[in-house]
Amino acid sequence: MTAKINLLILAFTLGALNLIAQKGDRSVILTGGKIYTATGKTIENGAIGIKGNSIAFIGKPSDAIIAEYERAENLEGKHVYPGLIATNTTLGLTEIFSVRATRDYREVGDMNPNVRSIIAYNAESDITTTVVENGVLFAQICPRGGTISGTTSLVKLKAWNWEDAAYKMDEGIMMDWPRMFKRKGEREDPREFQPDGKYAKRIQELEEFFLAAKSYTKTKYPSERDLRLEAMRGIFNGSKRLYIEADFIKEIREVIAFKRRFELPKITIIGGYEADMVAELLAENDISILVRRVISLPRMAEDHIDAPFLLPSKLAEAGVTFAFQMDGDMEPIQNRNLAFAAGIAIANGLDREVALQSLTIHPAEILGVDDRTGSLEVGKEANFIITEGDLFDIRTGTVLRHYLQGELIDPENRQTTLYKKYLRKYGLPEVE
Amino acid sequence: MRAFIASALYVLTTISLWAQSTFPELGISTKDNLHYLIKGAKIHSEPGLISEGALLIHRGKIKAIGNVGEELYPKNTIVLDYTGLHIYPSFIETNSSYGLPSEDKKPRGRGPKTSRSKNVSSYWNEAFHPEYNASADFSPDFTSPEQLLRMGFGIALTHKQDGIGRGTSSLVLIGGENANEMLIKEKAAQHFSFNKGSSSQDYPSSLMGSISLLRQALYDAKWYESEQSKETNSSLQAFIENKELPLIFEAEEANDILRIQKICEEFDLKAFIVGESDSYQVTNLLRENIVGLTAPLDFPKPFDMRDPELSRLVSQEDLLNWERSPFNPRIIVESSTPLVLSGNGLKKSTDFFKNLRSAIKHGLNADDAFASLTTVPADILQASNIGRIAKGKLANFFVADKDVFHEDSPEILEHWIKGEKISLEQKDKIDFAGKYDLNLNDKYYKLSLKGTDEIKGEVSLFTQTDTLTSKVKFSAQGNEIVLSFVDPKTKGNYRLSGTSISDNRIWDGRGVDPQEEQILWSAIRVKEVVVEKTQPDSAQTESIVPIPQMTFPLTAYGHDSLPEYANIHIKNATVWTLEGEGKLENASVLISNGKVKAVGQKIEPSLLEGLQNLEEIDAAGMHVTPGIIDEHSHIAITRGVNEGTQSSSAEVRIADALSPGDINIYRQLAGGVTTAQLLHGSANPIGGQSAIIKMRWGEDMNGMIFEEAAGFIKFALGENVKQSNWGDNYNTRYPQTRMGVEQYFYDSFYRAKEYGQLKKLYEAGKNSGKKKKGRRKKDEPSKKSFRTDLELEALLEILESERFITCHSYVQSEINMLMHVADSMGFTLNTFTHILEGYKLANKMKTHGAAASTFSDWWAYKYEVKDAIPHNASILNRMGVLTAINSDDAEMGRRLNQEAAKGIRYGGMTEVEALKMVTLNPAIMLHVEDRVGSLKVGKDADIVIWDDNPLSVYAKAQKTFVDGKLYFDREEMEKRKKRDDLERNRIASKMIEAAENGSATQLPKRKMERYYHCDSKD
Repeated sequence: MTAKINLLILAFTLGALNLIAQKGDRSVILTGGKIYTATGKTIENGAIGIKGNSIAFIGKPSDAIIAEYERAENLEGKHVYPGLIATNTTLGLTEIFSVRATRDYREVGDMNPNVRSIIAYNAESDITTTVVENGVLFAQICPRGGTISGTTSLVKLKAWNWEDAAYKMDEGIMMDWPRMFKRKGEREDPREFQPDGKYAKRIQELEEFFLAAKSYTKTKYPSERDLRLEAMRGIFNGSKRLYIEADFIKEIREVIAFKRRFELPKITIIGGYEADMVAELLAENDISILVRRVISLPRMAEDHIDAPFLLPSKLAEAGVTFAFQMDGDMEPIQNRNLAFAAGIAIANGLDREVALQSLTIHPAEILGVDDRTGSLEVGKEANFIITEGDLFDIRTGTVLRHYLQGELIDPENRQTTLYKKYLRKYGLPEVE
Repeated sequence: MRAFIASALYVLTTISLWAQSTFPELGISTKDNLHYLIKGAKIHSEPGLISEGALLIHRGKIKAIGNVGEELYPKNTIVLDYTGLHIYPSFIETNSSYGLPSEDKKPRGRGPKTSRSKNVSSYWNEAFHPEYNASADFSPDFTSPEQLLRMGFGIALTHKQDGIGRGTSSLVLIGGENANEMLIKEKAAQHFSFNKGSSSQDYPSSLMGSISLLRQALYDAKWYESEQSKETNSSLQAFIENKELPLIFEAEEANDILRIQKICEEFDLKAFIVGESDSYQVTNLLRENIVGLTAPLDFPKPFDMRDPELSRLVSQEDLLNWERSPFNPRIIVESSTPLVLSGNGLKKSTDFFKNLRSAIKHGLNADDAFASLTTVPADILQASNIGRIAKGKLANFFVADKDVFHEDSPEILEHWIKGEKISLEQKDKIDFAGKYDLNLNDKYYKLSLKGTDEIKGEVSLFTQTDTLTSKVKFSAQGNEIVLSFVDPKTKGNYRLSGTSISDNRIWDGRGVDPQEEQILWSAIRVKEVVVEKTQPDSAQTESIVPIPQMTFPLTAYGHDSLPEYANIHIKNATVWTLEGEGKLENASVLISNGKVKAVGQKIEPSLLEGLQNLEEIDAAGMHVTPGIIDEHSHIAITRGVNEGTQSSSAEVRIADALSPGDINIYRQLAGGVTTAQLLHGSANPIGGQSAIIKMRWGEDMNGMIFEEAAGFIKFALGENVKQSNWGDNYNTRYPQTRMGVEQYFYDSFYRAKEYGQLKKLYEAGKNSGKKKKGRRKKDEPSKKSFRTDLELEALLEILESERFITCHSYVQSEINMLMHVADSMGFTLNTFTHILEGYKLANKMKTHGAAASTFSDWWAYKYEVKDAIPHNASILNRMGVLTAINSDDAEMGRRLNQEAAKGIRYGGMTEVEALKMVTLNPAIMLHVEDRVGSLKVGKDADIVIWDDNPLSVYAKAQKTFVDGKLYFDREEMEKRKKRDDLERNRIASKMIEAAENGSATQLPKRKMERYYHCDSKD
């Protein structure tokens, strides 16, 4: 009986897909563009074929069987890149920062591994659509606050609701390493920075929590269910990644020691302002970095004036895997500048290919979705963008088209709507 | 006959000196009629003057000094022999609150606080209270005098260190118990600072607000003095009454000295400044209205630099300043500013003398040091009876065992206050250290003792084969000594007590031996060959530490020397002139004397002739642009960007609070920025006056100002001025709605108009008054006095189109409203900044003539920016509105070229149009386009050389010139980074060495760099 119903559903689903494929652009080959695959290979005058939601062909047009596709299109002079992945963001968890009612990223309490960002994710956010416009197709949605902020999820940025959006649900846990320094004065009005005498105590509390969690998760079905400890299960067995924010070198070393002590299989450091100073140790311990926002100021007046610009290239040289992110002031809206941040890193010595990979395949690897997306390869999902020119430069990186799971999506948003509305008001033509 | 005269003189003087007191006698009276004669000491009566001979003291005063003949004192005089000791006049501590209670912060509730705590006749703002007098609170009971006396301070100028107008200080003696006796001058000086202190009122919350409050109070005093009809104001009254007293100003940092100097110039005042250890950074800029400068001897402590990582927390600025602060007194003297030294902040007298000697070793002349503690403060305070040891002066002096200016670790044995001796150390303390032959019932030991306070020693016993020793416990109380030890051979315990006699040559006493038998014992001191201590000669030059090289500014990435004009020929570049031709390929720019001398594809060879040291820069493949101008910035501002405590703070000036050492100036140069408007924040509808600066990294705060630039002022609209995001405690200040904002503007401008009319009448009356005297009609305003109101002055300037508004704005309704206000008041609203909904009313802005200065793509951070679009600048530009792109942010400020490029992406500007958004257009907006903004002959040579198209994300400024001077060079920047790292290492090892030599250290820490935005609350 059940099997029958399942079969019916399957038939129905297949039928529906077919329908869309015919109506939409689900069997197409795009030729003539410069294809950046993010696998270390760039194809001048290449071709990319889509069937359904996957990439069916990547290579030279001469090697493709054009007739297999319902439609072919010439992209001459255009550039093709994998869709970008934004990490460590509160996109969809907040809309207008100063309006408390729209802030859904910080739960009360210090240890909140059990709160899940995914269920608060607003798939209809006005900000998200402006981020998509600039080529970002996926984002890791992260809670904030406390020592352990909560559970993160990766979403695709065009979706009907959070279930639909969820690309990898509950993939990791977000944590803030206790600071060795304390700031005197208020957050708004800091006066002084000095070593925090309570640091050791806070580390001890943290270790006690992890010890409790580790013991708890040794039982598969505990008689009494502790939601907090239960949520930690994944980080010990490797089904979840632990993201730990740390910038200062001593804190980073502590994180490395912590990973060893609790045998945490998957660790990524967020920030890592001084990570280049321990790069070998990070590489050795297989720790990746969600690198501190490139468009930010050096932490101290004495630091190299380009320190945040230089960090990605230093990490790359030392063989540390990293992904770009925009955490900081006005972080949600800043995600639309993700590619330009990588551009600045390129101007400061980062290899172009590594820059692209750090926006695509590297975050996909960190997030555990590299089997599906992050690079342009046959069999992977057709998640890519077509640009006017060089993606990393503001002048040329205008994104013309966005393909998400093979579907051409419309980047129309509140801002472009208002723009067009007021052009009409003044009788101004649109400038191409 | 002679005897008769002498005794008659004696009687006369005695009678005249009979002390009378208002205190009732409660028991048997104590008479104060003894004479003291101190002889044998070296009397350092004043700098450069040493009197051998004697000192005669009677009834608190010095009766004679030098060769004091017997006829001058009676037979019952107490004669003291102080041979070998040194006597100095008591030092004067000028920065003190000795004997005053500490002030608690006045209680304040939640939310705004605009009124005074006490409704009494006083100034409207309780931070200004010149009516306070220290004598009302002075009591020796509040402070322990001992450490001060041990440092040599016997006199203090004491004042309550609270508030901006702090009131008057008293001159008091230190050490006595009776306040009446110790107070020698009730009102000695008037004191001021920029620190509002315990006042519970919100205003002022910023440095610039403090300065404005003080300036306004000084104007108010002028007005009050000439006409007292309107109110009785005890504060202003007191200020006026005390006008002739010396004016003492506290400076929290070196730049405060320049701020004080500016106020002194405005009001024709002379000030004595109490500075910090960093004053040396500005001494070359001091003028005559600074009559003295106090340097603290409380030098910064070294940091604990052992941890190479933790110690990175210590700022370069603090490291460099630590090394240079001991030179501070010397540099002040060399700048010809009278120096006063202060021990304020030091807890231990040993530290005081260590630091005093350190200042001298760092080049401060010993006599200058002496003067700075005695005669200089006495002269500044016009206190003629202190500061010197001379006949008729107060008998205030101290007795030291060494020459305190030439020898290390002196100790002060006695301090005489008003002729009363206060003993601090036992003067003829026995020096027990030495070698003795010990005889215990004819058993002989050798004893040797070491140390002064804690005495340690050992006994030795000679046997035939070797020498056995063991430790000795020794203690003494007066001449009585106690000795115990274990016999090195028999291990038996001896316990001895005895007396030191014959100048400690012999000890003699009784004790018990190991068998508990009573024994007699004695010891004879073994004569040692005494090495004569070489008496240091004051003329002898000590090895003086050279002053380390300064950098400009004294922080990371400072210049070794300030950049200078150069003749430069930049060739083969793509030159973005932003004039008619937009950009020129393969072109040249010639810089001479700070100006653009030529620009174009061909430079007339004649122009190159006669240019000395012409430097050629081959810029093939490079781009040359005018320096970037940031219309909206908050960098380089210190101690508050907002005076948002009142709805209008038109009186405050950003120029008063510049911070020329802000590293962001250098960072902006690295982004090609050469000019910026530094704006007040947006916490109130009418903010403060802007400062337009050039990024002259290394110049002092006044040298950064863009000369002759027009005056600007910040206005603001919307959520910030309504305090929408300040929480529930802030909902009472007017206005709380956009409706109220409009009314507030109208009211302010009407007030300003009326003020202007009154001012005109006054000016007219003043002029006509010269012709016909004393005929004034009843309703005519006063010709005598007019109250300058700094707030209304600024608003009046707007009405008269002498000051221009940059208005923080977001939504179209309020933008529209403000243009109506301006129209009805007859002026043009110069610039709307942020203006994120400008695209909705670009046509109206065009009609009014307002410019727009906007963000490239910020939005969604608050409700009023939900309709912001990144195409805003493009639409405004296409509609003919003068448009710029600004930063409002230290980080974005250094990438404004990239932000401009977003105009190309969103809305399709041309590249030249886009670059103008951050160069020529803001120049026009700021009324400085005749000087900067494009590359044109005759304009300032504010030029950037980029390694790529300046609108590209890959472009980096290689060289940035301001006024034709090379302020930033990328290669040089890398060198400075290395230089700073080496300096850090060098100073770190010096600090570690200082710590090993016993100096107290402080944990690594740093003052935070503050990053202001419009939304910063202060």
